Amino acid sequence: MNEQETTLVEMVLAGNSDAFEPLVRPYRNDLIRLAFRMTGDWEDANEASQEALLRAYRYLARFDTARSFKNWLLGILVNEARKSFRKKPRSLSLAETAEPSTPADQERRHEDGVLRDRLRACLNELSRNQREIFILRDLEDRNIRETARILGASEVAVRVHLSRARKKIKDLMTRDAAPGKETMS
Amino acid sequence: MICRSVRKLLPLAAGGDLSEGKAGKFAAHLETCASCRAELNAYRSALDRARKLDGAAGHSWNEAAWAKAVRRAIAQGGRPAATRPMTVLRPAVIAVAGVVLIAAVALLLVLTRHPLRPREVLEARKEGVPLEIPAPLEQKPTPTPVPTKQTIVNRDSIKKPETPLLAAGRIKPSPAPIDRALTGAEAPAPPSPAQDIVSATFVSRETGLKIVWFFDRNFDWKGEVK
Repeated sequence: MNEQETTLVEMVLAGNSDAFEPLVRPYRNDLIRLAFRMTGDWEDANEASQEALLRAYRYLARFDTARSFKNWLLGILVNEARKSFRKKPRSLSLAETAEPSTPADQERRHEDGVLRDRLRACLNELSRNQREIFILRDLEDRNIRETARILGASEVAVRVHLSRARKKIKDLMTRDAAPGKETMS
Repeated sequence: MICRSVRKLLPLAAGGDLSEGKAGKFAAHLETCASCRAELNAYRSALDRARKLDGAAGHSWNEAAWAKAVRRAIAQGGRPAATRPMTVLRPAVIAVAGVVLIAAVALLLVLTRHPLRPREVLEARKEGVPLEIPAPLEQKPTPTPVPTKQTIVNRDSIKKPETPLLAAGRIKPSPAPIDRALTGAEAPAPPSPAQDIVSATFVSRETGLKIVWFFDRNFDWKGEVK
């Protein structure tokens, strides 16, 4: 945690609520993206992110300034996203990409569409730990230590779950790729 | 490293998460094994595809929605300082509580300890005075009422008619087993529930040495007096 964040935290705790916005602003996009990756729905992601901000403000006094504020904030978000995912366990979707729909991309989009469905199904098949760790490490590009801190798990546990998650994802992708190639030939 | 070991490491290696200690041997094996190289490429390819399909990569939080969320958090979050506690105090509280608990347990053990005092028992027996001994610590409560005062009874006192127990009529003299067999006398009644301590006395004919062993109601040895 840097000095600026420490100062902002102290200001908020002293009663200056205006210091809260600059404290969390650097992580604005991190919050909404992680929320979407975990819930698979923009509406749910928005709701979970708002709730995470609210809880971060309410429980800021419990934050240990020796730790990373970003990891603490993302940890709160993960908990909120879990609640949302529990409400809609089958709503996970990674299909909302912003690709242009040109004719040249149609074939690839078709293949990707199949893959997205498979990826979505595969993420649903992963256990909660595997899914969260895969999202944080491979989609969010956090390292093992950060992932462990955010989830409150040990690094060994993260490695174990990550290895299993990658194997499942790879098996699914490999099975998908094989029939596609046969069709094209 | 053999292929079997390398295959287990492939998922982590595909994302660059192998520890430094294993990375060297892993790389050395890959240089010589085309099959493992192909498998590693399959993992990397799958991870690349998953990242490409990630729809959140280029998304950002709308500025208006962001400002609204922050305002809501501040308005509904209450005063953060009001909930400040514990983080500094918690270890100290736990330490103090632990010390108090240990002290309480130690005090309890000291107060409830019942050492068997053989010398006092022997002296009391010589004087013919019943000795009060508190109930043992491990004694479990029974449904039948247990008398608070317990009297030590031993063979010596039973055989001598002048002992206080016989005089009080609490114990009747019983013949020895061989005498019972000859005369047809009834076997002695089982010891009363109050008899928690029994003793056995051994006297040497040559030296006159006298040893008394004490047992509890379970016949566990409790001590001796010479």
